[in-house]
Amino acid sequence: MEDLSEFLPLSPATLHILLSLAGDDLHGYAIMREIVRHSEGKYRLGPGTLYDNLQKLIQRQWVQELGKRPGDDDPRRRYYRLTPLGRGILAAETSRLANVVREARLRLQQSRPRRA
Amino acid sequence: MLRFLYCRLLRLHPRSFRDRFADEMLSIFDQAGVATTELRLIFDASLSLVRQWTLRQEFWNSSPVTPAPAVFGVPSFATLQSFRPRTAAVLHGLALSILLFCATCFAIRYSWIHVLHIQIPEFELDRSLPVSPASRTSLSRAIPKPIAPPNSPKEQQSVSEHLSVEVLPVEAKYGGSSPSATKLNSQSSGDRSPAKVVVVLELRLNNYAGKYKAQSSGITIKVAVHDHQLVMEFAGGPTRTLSPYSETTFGIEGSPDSRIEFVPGTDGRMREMHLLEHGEHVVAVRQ
Repeated sequence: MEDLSEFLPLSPATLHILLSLAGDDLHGYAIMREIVRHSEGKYRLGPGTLYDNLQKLIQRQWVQELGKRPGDDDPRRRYYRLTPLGRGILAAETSRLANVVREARLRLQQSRPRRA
Repeated sequence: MLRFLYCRLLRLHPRSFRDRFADEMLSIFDQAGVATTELRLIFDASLSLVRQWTLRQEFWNSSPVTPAPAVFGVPSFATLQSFRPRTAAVLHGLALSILLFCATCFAIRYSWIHVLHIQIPEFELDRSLPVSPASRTSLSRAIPKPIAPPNSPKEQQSVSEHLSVEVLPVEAKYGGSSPSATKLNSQSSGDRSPAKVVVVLELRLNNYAGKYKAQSSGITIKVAVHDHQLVMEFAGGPTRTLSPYSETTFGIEGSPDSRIEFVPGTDGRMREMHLLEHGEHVVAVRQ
């Protein structure tokens, strides 16, 4: 099993892109909408930032470019898919974040409220 | 208009990025529809442009770059080797060259230490010079040409090492003898056509010669013409040669920090001199 911890932690943009591609193959605009949806509108990615990150993720082989689909509304769209390596990194990051959340909850429960 | 601007911004991205993602980014822009969103996308594309050129150099050559098409069979850029520099490298070189050129020009113009002293003295043609009006016109429009060196050592001495006297070819007729202030050296052959002569303009040294009396100490400073050069004798000391920097400013040979400035009168003759030597300023009036 390859050690994926060297790639962690992920930047917010990378995390959201991998997360949006975890469910289905998507094109760029759909990735942007999916990020807005699962972040409940608190995180928005512009096309420049999105494709800059996609460029890096494709080069690292975390995301695979599938090309265009014939039946699509806009023939300029290309679709992207999460590779097994990208999925593994997303899983590792999720696990790391879960540990952070668990540790934070534990600390918060142990801490006593300060006097005013 | 905004779409055109967005297209221009995408066009300015590195080629590899543009070929890969520009169509999709434009597709997203077309789906925006709202002016405020379009403005936000333009801002985003501007940031992306800066980011791609400054932080993503590793992706610039990710796709092969095809050479620019030839215009009328002439390539826009050619080298003897098959190596072709990156467009970004050429742009960087251009920017650095322009920057270096501007810095050099700025340094030459505003440098505190002036290495080059280019002082052009002003001269007037002697009115008694027997040159026809047509010749005067040709003199004023003449272009300096390479001429033969002065004939005699005396003529060579008449040109100071600090002062470049302009020499112009003019047309004049035979027999035109000049006054002492102007020399004409014929270079013509024996035909009857107007001869080409060389006019060597000299400073009218006699205007400077005379005795000057220092106002503070009363010492007399004697300025004279010797071998077509101004010499100065001061307080019984040795004779020192003056070298002109300009029409009214002279240096003293052997004393690089010294300088003499003459103040001309209304008749063209010098009426006063200011001697700056060893930090002292002596004002002397012509007697």
